Amino acid sequence: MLQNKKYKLLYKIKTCLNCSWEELKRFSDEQAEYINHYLKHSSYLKACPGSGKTEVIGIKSAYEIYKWESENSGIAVVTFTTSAAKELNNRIRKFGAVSSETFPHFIGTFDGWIHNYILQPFAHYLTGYAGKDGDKSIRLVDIESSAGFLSNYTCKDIFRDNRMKPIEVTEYHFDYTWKNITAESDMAKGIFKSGLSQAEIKFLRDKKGDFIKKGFATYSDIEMLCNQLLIRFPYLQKKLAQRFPVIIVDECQDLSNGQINLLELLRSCGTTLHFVGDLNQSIYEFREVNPKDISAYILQKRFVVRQLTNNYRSCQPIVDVTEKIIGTQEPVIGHENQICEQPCILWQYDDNTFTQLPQKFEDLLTANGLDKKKSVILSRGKTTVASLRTQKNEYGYTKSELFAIAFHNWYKSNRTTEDINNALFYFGKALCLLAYGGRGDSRNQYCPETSEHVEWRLLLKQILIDANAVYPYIENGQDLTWTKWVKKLKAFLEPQWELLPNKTYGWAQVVSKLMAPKKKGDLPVKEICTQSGIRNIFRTTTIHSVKGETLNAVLLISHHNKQSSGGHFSHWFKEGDFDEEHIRFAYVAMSRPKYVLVLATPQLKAAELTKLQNLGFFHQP
Amino acid sequence: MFLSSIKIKGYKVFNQEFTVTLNPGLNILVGENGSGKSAVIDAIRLVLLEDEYGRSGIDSTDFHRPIDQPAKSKGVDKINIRSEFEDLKDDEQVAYLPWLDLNTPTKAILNLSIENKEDARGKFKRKIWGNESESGLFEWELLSRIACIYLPPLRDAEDKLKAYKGSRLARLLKNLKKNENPDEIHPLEKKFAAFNKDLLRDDSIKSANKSIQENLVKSVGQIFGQDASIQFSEINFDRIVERLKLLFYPLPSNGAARDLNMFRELEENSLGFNNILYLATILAELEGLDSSKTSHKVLLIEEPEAHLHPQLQIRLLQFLNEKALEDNIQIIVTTHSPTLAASIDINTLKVLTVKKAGESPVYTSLSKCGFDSDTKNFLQRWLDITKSILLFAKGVLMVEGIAEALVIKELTPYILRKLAINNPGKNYLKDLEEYGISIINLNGIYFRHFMTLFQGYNKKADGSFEKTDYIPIRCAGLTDNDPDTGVKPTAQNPAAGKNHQLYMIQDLENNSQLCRLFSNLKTFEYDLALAGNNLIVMAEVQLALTTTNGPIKTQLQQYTQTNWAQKTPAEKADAAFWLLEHIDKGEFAQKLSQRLSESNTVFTIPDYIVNAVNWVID
Repeated sequence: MLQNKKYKLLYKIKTCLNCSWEELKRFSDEQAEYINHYLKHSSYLKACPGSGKTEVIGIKSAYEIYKWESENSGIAVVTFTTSAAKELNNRIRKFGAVSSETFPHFIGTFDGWIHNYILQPFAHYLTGYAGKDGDKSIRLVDIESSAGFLSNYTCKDIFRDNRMKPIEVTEYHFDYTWKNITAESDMAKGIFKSGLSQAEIKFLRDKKGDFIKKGFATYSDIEMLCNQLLIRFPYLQKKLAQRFPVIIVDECQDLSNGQINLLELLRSCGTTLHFVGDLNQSIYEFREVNPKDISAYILQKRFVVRQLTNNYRSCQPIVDVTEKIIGTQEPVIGHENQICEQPCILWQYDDNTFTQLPQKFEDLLTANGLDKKKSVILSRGKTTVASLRTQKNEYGYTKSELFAIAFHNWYKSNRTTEDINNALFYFGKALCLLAYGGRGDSRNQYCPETSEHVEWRLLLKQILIDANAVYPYIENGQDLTWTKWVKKLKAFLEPQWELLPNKTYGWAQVVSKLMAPKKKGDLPVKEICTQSGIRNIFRTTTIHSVKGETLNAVLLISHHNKQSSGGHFSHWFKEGDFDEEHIRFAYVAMSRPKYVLVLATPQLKAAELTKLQNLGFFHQP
Repeated sequence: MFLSSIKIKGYKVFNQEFTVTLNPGLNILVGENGSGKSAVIDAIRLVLLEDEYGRSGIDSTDFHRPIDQPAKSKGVDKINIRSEFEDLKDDEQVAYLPWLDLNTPTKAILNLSIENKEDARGKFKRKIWGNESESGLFEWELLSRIACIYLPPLRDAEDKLKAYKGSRLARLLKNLKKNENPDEIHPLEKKFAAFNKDLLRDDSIKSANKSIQENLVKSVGQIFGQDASIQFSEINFDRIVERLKLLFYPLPSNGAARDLNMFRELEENSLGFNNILYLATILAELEGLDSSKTSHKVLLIEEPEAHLHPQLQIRLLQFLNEKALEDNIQIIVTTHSPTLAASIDINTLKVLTVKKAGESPVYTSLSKCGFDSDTKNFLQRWLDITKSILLFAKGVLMVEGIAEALVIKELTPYILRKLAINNPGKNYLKDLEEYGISIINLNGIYFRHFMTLFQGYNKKADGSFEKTDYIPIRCAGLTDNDPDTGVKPTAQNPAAGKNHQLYMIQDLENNSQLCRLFSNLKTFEYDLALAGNNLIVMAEVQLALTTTNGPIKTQLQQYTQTNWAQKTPAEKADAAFWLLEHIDKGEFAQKLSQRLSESNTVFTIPDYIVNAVNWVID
């Protein structure tokens, strides 16, 4: 871009948006070029990690919104996680282009956008759902929901090895053609892998159809319903395209095929699409996201392609390693200062030293004077780092365990807000599952449909206060076993049951559902609250959850076993073939840190070690 | 787009879902007191969030309570108000997309529900949503693009035109300012800034300023000292316009500027003219709204006739009608004024009827009563003030002329007394007024046109019938059989009628629920004369009107002395025929009704009249 033209553009932006010349001057030629991109042509901005893409989208969107003239139609700026959407919103607002009311534009998640503009207003025209009390809203059901009413929709017509294999309606979804079925749970995946007959697919389709006609849907069904709506009602397709003639998709590598299809329906009616992202960071294969399909789509529809090739996040050695593993042809320039002598470090661990990794990482950061708060420990799957984690996550608890964990959180000696939150959440979930068949709002302590949120929380608190009858999990100085404790728990809950308003299930129907967790009857209850003795001050999580983040330092831990699905270092470094998702996972993880990247592997063979050293890792014994 | 219908449930008088259909432009809601006119207006205000008069805060008594429940009972659980907009233009369809009915894309739906459950602050939980799903995002901008202004009955126009924050004048000026360049300093602000500068040069201000500054420094010392300056207080546009008020002069401007000193304070003006001034300000405000940010304008006016004499009422309504067309304002008016009801396009009239206390009223849009253009034109011309009271009645008795109107009014107490004697178990009121029934003089046999409002069917050209809406009150018509003038029909020997409306008797019986036409042997007076000993009374009345002596007087005297019960029907017919040859209908009716109002009069009522009265009071 000509410097003259660039400054002209930046000056124009300065006059209309709330930003300083200092801020604007920082924009590179590539960035300015994109901000100047004419919205009438669909485009793809290929942005390498740390390229300042969110900043660019922020100012681009704000600038376009400022120039926008129509009162009735607007720009949709969508991304895929609520945190990313919040960030986008903040950036765009910072420039003062939109006031409190975003109308006629939309800034938020892709799901929120289709939920509000397609699914909720119109789904009942497709499904014929008659509504409840005049309300025809679709009720969304969590895939993890074990709500009782769902059993009506469970398919019981599939047999394997002469045994009926019940498949819940939340365990699979269809695409908008109603022909292709995808499993979501491990159970369904197992069965579907063995192949489904046409008759079996029909059984599953019928159950899904009943479920949807009754006004329900899972999150995965939304895409299908929205696609169908646009196809069934060409009028809606046309008007929605007019309502949003421009759609900017941040993190476009997360677009599933269903979502691309939906966007294409609008594009064919005149909407222009502006994809921004990095296909190398596409890590949602399980959600039917395939970067190859996205790139084929971009090519087929002749999107104008632009690039951001400057990495403002990481120092050059980290950039070099990451670009090597993904096989980038063009050079990427790292702009962050290198403050450690060796930014890319390799550690080997064995069974004994594994749990010392956090401490070692802490020492390393101290030595380099780095902030530990902005540093994390990462692995591909949850299990790899499970033994390093100090807290357990919500799924997988049985009902009696939910009660136990709730009481433990409530009665902690130095209780934090998070503990109160957890206590109410787990307790609400347990009561809702038992008394209301799981029909509750998971965002509000599983508040049943018939209750007010505040009343529900107060009720939970009231019962929790009385729960000192069953807490702590000790009797006569002895640790209580699950079997004994559940008996006590039942005696405690029975009178409380009267307090639950409009419940679906009375105590008599519930009492048999409450039992000790399988195979744990004789184990002490208190185990559920004991934490591992490991010292780990770091956020310890999966690669998925740090997408898009900038961190100071990362400790990426390889699974010890090569059989792990994509969690072993050997899956991450392949030569010649860069299309595998495992590699993109490693790429996402390793492109997070500014200053320090540590790779921890099990004991290496000499050849492996050499290979990693050649990639740019410095081996620290 | 325009507000095409509103469905109300659980609000005030409406227990069942109550549907109000509206047309673009002017709508006039008429109906007796308590029929729910104001509740309809309030429901529209609720759903469109109009709150100038603070009624958007809902009260516990707004939840419908059946009348068989104690006054303090809680009322229904929920108020639902569903409004529909139609004729959305292309760009409106795009903007209002989430509200659109996919089956009819030119239609948008907006819903409001209020739960009968107070929170800790005594507020009722309300929810508003487009289309039919409560979940999802609600774009408030879409609602705020529908401008809605409400004028309550007996409004204090003077007060509203005074200078205060949020006054009508301030709103008008602010709306006008929005159309100008927002970045530029408004000329008004510039002028006030200049004025402030000027102010400081004034000697008295100067010395006051100085004195204040000195005292300020003295009181707190140099360190904590502050500076101060006297200014005219309002320097920003919004504040300036809030200080403006309207004055008036009793004659219209002739183009030349009038000396400002001549304008007077509004309290000197008449209430009626102040009301009109107020309305003019509001119409100017609606006119000035930025059209790109306003998709629809609704003006709700309750009883605009307040304080206005009839001619002004009519003029005002015509003006509103013109305004509605010109500026695309949907104006919804409630009224008790027959003057207003009579002076406007009949298609704009909507009638609310209370069928039974405690039940939801019935809503009838006259445009849906199925009249052809002939009938419409006819009604438009003939529905004058005296006839338009039928829109406010609980029952209607239609008659052909002034004679019938006068006499039947006096006959009905006779009929009611007789009915009471014949049906001892039933309770009869004293007269038709008590029943809320109006006698309407059609000045002719125009039953075909007038009954369209009540009959509930439309007879098509091929003779078949189709159902239509109708005002659900009882309606009876009295019409003369009108055979050839020379004939003297009797009950035993009737004559074929020449009245070309007679076919309606059968049509109505077959197709109408509440509307009937009743006829006689010949004419009203003839049939009166044939009944019982009526000839005596009628001859006496005519005798009193006869001033000259001669054969006529002799004949009348003879009639007054005859015992008609012993005469044959043919003889009575001859006498009736003769009598009617010698009366002046108008004068006779006048005197006869006077005579009937005297308590000692004995008079027999012909069956067809009894039947008609019995029909309307049922």
